[in-house]
Amino acid sequence: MPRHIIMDPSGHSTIEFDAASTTDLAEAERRFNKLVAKGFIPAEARGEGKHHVPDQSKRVFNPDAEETIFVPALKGG
Amino acid sequence: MLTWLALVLLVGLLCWVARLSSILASNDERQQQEAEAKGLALLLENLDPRQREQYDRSGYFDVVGSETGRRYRICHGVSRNVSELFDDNRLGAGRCFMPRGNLAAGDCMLAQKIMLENCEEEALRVALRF
Repeated sequence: MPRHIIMDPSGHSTIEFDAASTTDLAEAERRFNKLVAKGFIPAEARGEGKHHVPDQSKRVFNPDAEETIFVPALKGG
Repeated sequence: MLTWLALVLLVGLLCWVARLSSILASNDERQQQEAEAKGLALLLENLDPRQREQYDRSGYFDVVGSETGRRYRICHGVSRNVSELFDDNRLGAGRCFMPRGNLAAGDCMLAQKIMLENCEEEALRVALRF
């Protein structure tokens, strides 16, 4: 089942959704867009420690992604 | 008599507040430990086999920057834990950047790995040298 993993102070939250359900997909897309608008960076896990992060202008919901990790916006230390 | 009663009540109240503070503090500590464990589990799931072996053995792992091909070492931690690596594995300049929010170390290191391996320039733009 596809999932969104959102990094947060709780050690991240995981939200699974049914890719065959249009309601779930619409909700997942809304969540994706909301997080990206807040500055989160979406990274699709590709297995074996590999990830794909779309360019800043191409960060749109991919309904085929099995796992997307949302990284909060970065700051310098 | 009334003074004694007030004194006893005050002491009782202070004891109760102290006990409540202690319970709240231990809850915070437990939540923090749970967050650290979850973050670490997510990091380990997302390291490649070589990085996993390196992290298990030494508490750090190396990544290759997506744009420059430069190597970086990410040590266990949440800040001032990323350094460039020379060809002979000596540590070079430190690059301090991290995700916003108070994240667990595992999540923070995973974010640093993902960004350097995919959007090196975006990460280095905000990073401070140390």
